[in-house]
Amino acid sequence: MTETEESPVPDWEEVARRYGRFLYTVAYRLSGNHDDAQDLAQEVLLRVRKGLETYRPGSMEGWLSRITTNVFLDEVRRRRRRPADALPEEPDWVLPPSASADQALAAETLSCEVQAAISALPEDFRVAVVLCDVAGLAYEEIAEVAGVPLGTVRSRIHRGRALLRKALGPRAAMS
Amino acid sequence: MTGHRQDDHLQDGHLHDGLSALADGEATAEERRAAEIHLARCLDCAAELAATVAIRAVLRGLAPVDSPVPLDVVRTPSAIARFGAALAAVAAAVAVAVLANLNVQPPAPEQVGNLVQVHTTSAVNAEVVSQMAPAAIPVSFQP
Repeated sequence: MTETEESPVPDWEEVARRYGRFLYTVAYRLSGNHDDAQDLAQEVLLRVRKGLETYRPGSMEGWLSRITTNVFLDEVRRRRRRPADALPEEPDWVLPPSASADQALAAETLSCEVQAAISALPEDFRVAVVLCDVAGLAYEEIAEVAGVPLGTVRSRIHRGRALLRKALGPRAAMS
Repeated sequence: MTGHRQDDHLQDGHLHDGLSALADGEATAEERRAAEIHLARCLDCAAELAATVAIRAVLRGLAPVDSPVPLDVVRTPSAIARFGAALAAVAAAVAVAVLANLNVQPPAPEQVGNLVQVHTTSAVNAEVVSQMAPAAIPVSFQP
């Protein structure tokens, strides 16, 4: 059991139970719809279960974000080679868990519009913004996940946010 | 993909990427000092910083999204394929063994399924095995 003690690879069911919502939220914000988010999240869990991804003890969110980003970008490249399978532009309607009817409608509308704007970002910008503002990773972690220099991360986050501001107009100031 | 222009601030004197770094607490102490001086006299950068802070709040305020189906019980397509292949292999092996040794009709797919299920269950669940035992006792046997 020495190997297990040295590299405690997390059990996939434990990951699904404790980090399922985090994983799914990141997958959904990247892919923009439930069908692709489910495929993405399950592929991540499958890789965890099969031990295909090297686990380095540290931030579980960072580790899952790296796997999710890799799977997402692999799929984007695959679909680019087969344009018929292109990712849909229109996101699914996401219902907030609980709120009054008016608040729910307003939040729902804004959430859907923001998701549509995120989905319209170029993938590299989308990854940077989602990892920063949805996954909550530090720039250093995002640089490692995306395999780019820190300056590129700064640029992509800022430009990604600028594109979102432009797409959302005055609604970008609603919070 | 579009290359970044890390030296924007050197080209036009404005903060650009540094504004997001500032909003995210990722700017160095030196950058923060320089930004403070710049923002005090540059309305454009001050407005862009406010807009950056606002969109950041919108993004971070998005509700978490739950999968409509539980992630820990849904099998991926590839997992389903492997499970199906394994089941088919077991069923085929059972059918071959039955045909070769007993020379009887191949069991119906439903029976094979039951056989696989019973053996799978009995391997992991002692309770079910104990329930199977009476079935093996001859009907004529009476204590």
